[in-house]
Amino acid sequence: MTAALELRDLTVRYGYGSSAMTAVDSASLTLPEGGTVGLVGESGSGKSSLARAVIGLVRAASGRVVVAGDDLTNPIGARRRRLTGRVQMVFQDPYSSLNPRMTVGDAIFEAVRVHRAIGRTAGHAEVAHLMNRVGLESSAADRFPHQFSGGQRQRVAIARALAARPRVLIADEVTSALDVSVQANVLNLLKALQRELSLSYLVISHDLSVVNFMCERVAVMYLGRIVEAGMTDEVFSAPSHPYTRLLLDSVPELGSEPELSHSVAADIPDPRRPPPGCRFHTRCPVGPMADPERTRCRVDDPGWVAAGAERGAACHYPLA
Amino acid sequence: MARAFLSAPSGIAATLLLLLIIAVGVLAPIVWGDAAARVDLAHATEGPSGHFLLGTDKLGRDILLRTLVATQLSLLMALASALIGAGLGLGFGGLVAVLPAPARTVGERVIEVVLSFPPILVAIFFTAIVGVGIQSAIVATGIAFAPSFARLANSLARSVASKDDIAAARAVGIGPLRVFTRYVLPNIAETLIVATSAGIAAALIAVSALSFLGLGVQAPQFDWGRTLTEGIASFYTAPLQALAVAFAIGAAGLSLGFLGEAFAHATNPLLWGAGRGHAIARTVLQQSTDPSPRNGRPLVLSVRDLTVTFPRNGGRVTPVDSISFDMAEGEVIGIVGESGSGKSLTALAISRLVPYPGEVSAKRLELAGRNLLDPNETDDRFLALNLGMVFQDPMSSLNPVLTIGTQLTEGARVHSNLGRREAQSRAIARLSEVHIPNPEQLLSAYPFEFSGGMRQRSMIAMSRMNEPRLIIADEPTTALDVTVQKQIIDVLRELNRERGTAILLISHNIGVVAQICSRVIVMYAGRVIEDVDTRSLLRKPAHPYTRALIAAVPPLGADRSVPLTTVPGRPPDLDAIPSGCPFNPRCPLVTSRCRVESPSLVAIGDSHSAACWVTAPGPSADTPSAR
Repeated sequence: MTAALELRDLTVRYGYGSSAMTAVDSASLTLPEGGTVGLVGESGSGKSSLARAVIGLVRAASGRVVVAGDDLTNPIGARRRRLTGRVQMVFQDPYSSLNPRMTVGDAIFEAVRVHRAIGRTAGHAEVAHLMNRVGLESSAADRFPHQFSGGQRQRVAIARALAARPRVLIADEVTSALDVSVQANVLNLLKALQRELSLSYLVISHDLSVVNFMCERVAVMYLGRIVEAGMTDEVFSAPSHPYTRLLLDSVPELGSEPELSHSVAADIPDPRRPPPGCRFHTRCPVGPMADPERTRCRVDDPGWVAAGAERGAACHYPLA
Repeated sequence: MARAFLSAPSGIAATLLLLLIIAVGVLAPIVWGDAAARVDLAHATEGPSGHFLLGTDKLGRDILLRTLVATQLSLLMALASALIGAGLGLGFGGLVAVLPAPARTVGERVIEVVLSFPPILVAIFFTAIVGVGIQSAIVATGIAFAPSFARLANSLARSVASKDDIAAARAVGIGPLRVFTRYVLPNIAETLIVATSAGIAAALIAVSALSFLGLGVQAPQFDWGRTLTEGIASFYTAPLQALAVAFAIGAAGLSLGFLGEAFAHATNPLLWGAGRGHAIARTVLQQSTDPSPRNGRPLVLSVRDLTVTFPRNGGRVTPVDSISFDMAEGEVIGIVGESGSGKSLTALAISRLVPYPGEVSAKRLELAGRNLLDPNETDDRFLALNLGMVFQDPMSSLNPVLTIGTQLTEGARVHSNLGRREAQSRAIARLSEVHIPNPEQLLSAYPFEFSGGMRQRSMIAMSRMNEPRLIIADEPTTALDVTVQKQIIDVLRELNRERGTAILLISHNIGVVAQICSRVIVMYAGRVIEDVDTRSLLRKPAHPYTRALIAAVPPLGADRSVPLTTVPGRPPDLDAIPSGCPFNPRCPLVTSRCRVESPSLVAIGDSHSAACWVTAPGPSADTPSAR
């Protein structure tokens, strides 16, 4: 079975000269048909750049973006329309991702007519249908975005993405600007839509509990690299990479008695100058900062070590 | 849109004035063209009379008629040169904005260099090259104004092009041309229209100046500038000619300026019906003391019936509605709620930062035993020494052009009367408390050189500079990564444990609050609906809203086939808070009483109270306790 979306050694670079930066470094990822893959990591890890490269908003410097067997890397013209007809994206901030000068009905209609020759009447019906689908009254179509709450705007953004009838939906931090009770509604909506339309999701989030709830598979990114991937249950219950462990330990869990860690872990290094060797060694709790014997982490870049068909990590000293 | 245009008072005035000027421009040459050119030496240099309302010039021509007739040529020249300038400038500036990076940089530098020459000098220079006359004055003025339009178009296009809605439109598959016309242009049109409208006014001045200098319109043709030249020569004997023209130029310029503003208002739906913002922050304090005795514990903060109101649509809304709580020295309390619950405004009221025109009142509002409602009892210095604040976004709450050291030491030097050296060593101590490495060196660093986590830790160090008894942290970890969030939580806990600082933590994240706080106050629609120690919060939350908040956070390891528990609807608007319990329209346990009577906070256990008729009924009011 072909994957809904496959990334092979995708690399994204920004800037030129001394300010050049590799935001995504040879990332490979497979999103199975109808499946959901979560992408986690801190800000600066390259999650959003990866998503933007998939959708063609930034150029892939090398590597491949394969959609249902069709190579659509750096698409232009007809290939671009083919890509946007199959892969759509919902952005983080529903306040800035909608054109403030356009009614929400027009915004959705724009997306409909890009992908289908459609008349005004049929278009209106389609817009109403899409708005109902995401739980909005179709009578609200002639209102402007600022007349909606954050959760409703995010529903508009989802309706607009669905207008292209995509097979793959990329959700880039779609709930991080929303209140918790609203977040739960949007997450439930996304799940229901996935069931009804058999969509495949790439869910990008810094919130591990959101990823855990949404995704049966997860990939962990650090400074442009995917450092661990696998089934969410396995990765979150027994992480191999110390970075995954650090992320999991940082999640404030209701009811857990937190222990005070006296060594405050350093922040993520400047992505323009990633550390040599293993990029995580400057913060690693089991690396050379903790155990001086483990010098190879400073020098050798750990390769990907597969552990089964779906699981793997890039670490010299994986956790048990 | 037309209605919005006319709803702005400047829109009506400008439209009427401009219509009048245009009408004059169109009709005057037809009606009075010959009369204005008629030389009548018999009536040369006469004062105002019934026949010549503003008198005559030295060739006996009617000054009023000449000023009116000159309108057409002046306006047409101004319009033509502004259009040339806008066309050249917007085209070049827009083009530069979409070029690849190196070429763009070169183009932008070129614009900046050309921009450094004053437009009128450039215009004079060009007329000197191509010769005097109407056409050359128009072209010269157009070229002179092009760089400012180019700069404007360039920066506007670039600021808009990086926005999310453009990315979203491209992601949907909309082509570049349509993205430009439907997404970029409407969002920069407002500024462009204002600029073009102001540009016509400026061009009017410039072409008039060229004619005035003798480089533009040549006799026997005349525009305002030319007429002004003639008037200036006899200014001391017959000032009316110069003044009439000056008035005409002024009126035309003003109406064009207002017109631009009204256009801008009309093209922006965000401004329709919106009131104007207020720049001045003022807090109106209404004092009313409540002599109720306090219990033995030393309190750092005592709040009774704190209420914040704002005027809206003729009435008043109450985003914080009679909230009460006490905070002992060294206690860590969390206030949890969603946006609009009033939690941040509560913090602002305590720190006296509620913006004008809000009004704060309370039966009691005491910090360290002193009345915060009386500015004489608690001056700014008292506040600075006893209360530290940490805000959500460390990047915007630190001044980007001052070093960390300057920002940390400033307050301590003013309020704790420390010398430079003492303040610096205190800053170093505070920075190392929050685990900033090499604080000595980093005193001279700027905020942008810090990572997000270091910035927020510096903010905490700053709030600690005067060693206050209470720190209010308003969403200190929102928008930070989980790893950084943990750092901040750890730092706050350590401060509390080792320095005994009381912390009031305001957050929408119940998980964060539960990590650090011994007590949690849950707010909804401006009211406290539950006040509970953290253990009871997790074991047996009483209020249905608190339960819903907890259930809405999916725990790690949650079953992903079960949908998350959600609360229907959303928090009420401040001007439509439901009667009875404010949560009743969304509550799964709602009863008829909830819709009518508002529940108050009732104790349901040791250090646990809730405001709910169903889960915290308390002792019934009409039947006294049986015992």
